[in-house]
Amino acid sequence: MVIVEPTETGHRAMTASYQAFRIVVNGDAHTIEADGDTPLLWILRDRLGLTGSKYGCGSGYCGACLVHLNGAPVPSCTLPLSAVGDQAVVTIEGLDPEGLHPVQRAWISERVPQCGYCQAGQIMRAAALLSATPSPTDAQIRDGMQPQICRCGTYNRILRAVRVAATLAREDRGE
Amino acid sequence: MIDRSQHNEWLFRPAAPWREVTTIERRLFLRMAAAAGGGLLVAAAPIRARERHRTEESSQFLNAFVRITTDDTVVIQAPCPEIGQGVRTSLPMIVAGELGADWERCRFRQAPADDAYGGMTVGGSDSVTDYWEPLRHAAALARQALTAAAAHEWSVAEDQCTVDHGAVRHPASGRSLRFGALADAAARSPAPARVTLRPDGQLDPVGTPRGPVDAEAIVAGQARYGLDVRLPGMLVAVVMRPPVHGARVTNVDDAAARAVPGVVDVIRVPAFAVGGLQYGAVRGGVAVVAEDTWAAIRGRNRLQVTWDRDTLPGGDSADLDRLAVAALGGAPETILRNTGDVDSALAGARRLSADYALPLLAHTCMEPMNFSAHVTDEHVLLTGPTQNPRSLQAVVAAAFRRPMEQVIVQPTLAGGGFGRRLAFDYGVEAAYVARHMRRPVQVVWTREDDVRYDYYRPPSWHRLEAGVAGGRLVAWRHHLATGSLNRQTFATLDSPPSLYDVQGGADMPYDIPNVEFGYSEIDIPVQLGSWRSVSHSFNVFAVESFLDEVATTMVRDPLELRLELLAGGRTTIPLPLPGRRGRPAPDRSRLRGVLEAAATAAGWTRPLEPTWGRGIACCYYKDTYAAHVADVNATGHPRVERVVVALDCGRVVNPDGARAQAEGAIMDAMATMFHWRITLAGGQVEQSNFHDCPALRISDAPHVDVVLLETDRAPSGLGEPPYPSAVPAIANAWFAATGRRERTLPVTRA
Repeated sequence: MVIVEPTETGHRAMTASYQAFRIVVNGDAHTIEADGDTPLLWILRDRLGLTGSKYGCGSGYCGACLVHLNGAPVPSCTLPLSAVGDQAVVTIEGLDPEGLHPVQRAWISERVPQCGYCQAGQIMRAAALLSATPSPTDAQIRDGMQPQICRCGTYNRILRAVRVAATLAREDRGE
Repeated sequence: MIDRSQHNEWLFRPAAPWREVTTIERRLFLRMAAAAGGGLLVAAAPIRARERHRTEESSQFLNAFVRITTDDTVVIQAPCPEIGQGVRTSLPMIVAGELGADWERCRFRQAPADDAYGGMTVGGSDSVTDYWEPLRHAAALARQALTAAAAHEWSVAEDQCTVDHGAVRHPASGRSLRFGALADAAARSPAPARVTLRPDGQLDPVGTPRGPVDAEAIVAGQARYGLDVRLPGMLVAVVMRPPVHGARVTNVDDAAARAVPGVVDVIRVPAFAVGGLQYGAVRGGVAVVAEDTWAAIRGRNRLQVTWDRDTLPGGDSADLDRLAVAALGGAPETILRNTGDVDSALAGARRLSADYALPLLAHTCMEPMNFSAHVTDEHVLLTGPTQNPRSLQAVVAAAFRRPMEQVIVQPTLAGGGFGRRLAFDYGVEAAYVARHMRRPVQVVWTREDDVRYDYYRPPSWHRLEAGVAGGRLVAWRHHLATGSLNRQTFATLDSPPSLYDVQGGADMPYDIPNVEFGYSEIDIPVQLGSWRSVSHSFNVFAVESFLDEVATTMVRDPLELRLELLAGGRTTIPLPLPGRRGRPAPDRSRLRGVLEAAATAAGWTRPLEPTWGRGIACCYYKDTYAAHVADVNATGHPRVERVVVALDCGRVVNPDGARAQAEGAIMDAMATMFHWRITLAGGQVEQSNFHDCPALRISDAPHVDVVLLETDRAPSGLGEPPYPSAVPAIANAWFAATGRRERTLPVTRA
């Protein structure tokens, strides 16, 4: 059954998949009325004003949209809103309240960004990698970062920065 | 929370930035006229702005580039858009250095399009070259105004004062005053009789390695790119564009599109090019306008549009190959360089010949094309990622018949440019849609749109012939067949070819007694445009690869052969071409310099293991010289292990930025060698996203070593020059390691 509700600028058709979804992003709960097929990326960017996660390809190839879902790295451009459920979503904005996560600090000290557009996704991937593998080898870093595209070619600095971040994280833990 | 006031103030209230510019009483004019030989004219008049900036802190404009706030912050206007090439950092470093500011207390604003900021176009690796002197003049004016204010306060002579780290000092008495305390008085200072510049080597932070000024914002996800623009009440549009060049809409069925929740309207966009300028040519089509991005995309997916044609006869890549090979088999349409007598020299020599072919390339900027616009009776606001803000401003002003002062173009950060954003088609398109809707609109290009509606690097086919006699290279002939860049970009379709089409080939620098360069035009059925280093990107590959083949035939070390052919100093290569670069004048001694530096750093004479190979190549791009040495390891699957690059760009403004450009260019070269190609079927682009237009990944990245030859020459650019010779260096190393000479790119690695 389709219920059409007029709004100020148009009509919204309430289809079977158009519902209210409750999601938690960066610790904040939100109720989103949208089609359940909507990729989480567009909910983040257009509904919640969280533009840190970027649109690069819309198909999961580039990683610019990467978020954490209960800590796991997931491209938000291919994650439908209906699949989020009560899993905790963390975006680049929520990685650290001060922007001082070891990966972020390493990205600054190694002067990684050129245009910078891919770097939020790179950082989210690196942060998840280090959570799972706190002392990765270079081969593990390359494997772990392989899904992320950088068109400016900052790969060698990314590699160095992940090494530095691993050290910073160990120091933070007092190791 | 990151203190966002430190960073690029965002355009949430569009009113603020351009009101500053329009209330400036007298403009600082920077006339970027390049006279023959590339000189610059600078006429500077100081600015007296009594209007205060409309944010929390009050401040004084000292001129278009320098504003001092009462809390002692120096706000530097960054004149050129940032596309990852580093000019939002390097150009303000020049200002801060000449001024004597404390770099840590500097903040940066991106200049809106205005002639007060000069040409503003970022292309051709010209920004640092063109702005070096004018920015220093502007900063010196501000410094002298601050000095005059302090000297007046202390009743001392100005020449007894020094300026550094954000303060004016009187060493004799130990007094100092910070800029913030002097700004009001400085703004009232009379214009100095003459401008005094610091010595070139005393411009700290110039010459020190700096990270990008936006790094903190970027890593926190706070940096704002074009797609991140949010204007109040903004709609989002995606456009269905013609399937082939020139196709026209015959029918639109938009019922299903309009039924998508959130879709507001479906409108026709005409195809038009203001003044015939291809760089601003809107392709036309049908736009779906919606309340948010996903609704617009869904709406377009449900649009049913028929076109008068969806295929072009002769529009397959194989058809273009046939045309080009046929062209190469005959005489060139135009001879652009003819020294000596190549035919006679070849007749008496051992001849070599090789054909090279390079494909169409897409730009695939990480951030797909997009632009945001709001058209009202009072103004036309355009904001987004562009390399060409003033051209966009001029073209929209002309198209809409509005005075320039009403057309505000505010560049955002750009997620890459590579020459794609020199075209302003997508900005004009957004302006059109916004004007129709009478609301703010952001036109979003999906990745598929971005790949299929690019201004592609033209495909090129090359036939090279050389003659070797008496142990010398005596003849060189290069026949280039390609699509015309000049006509498709800055010029119009009836313009003749220019240096833009043939550089890197027609102006090859080697001292060979008999040289001929010929050009034949191939009609390419897609839009062509500038792609990092333009025609250097394909011509240098052919020249440096073929020279390597000649060296192999002559049983000569490729480095030694190049050094021999580059004896002497600066030479002029007269070419019968219009334009300001019609007389290339490479300095052969600088080419020798970078070759020797790269070779030394790479250990050129050190023996390699038997399964490894090493290759070398060089090029000059305007006033910047580059040489690359690559190492390929053919043990098992061949792999590029290391690339060394030596760069001579005069004085280096930001050494870390310079290294970053060199590293990135080598990654582009790797992708060029092994991945990138655009193919056509019936005039349609066959690729659409990163699955069939693959990017280089981290596991492919070779080790990179960068050598910067620091000199006292004025700085020259680095956005493009580190790219062209990287590709043939890799190809030459590939040959040395595998025995395979790759003349057609990309290579499919075994």
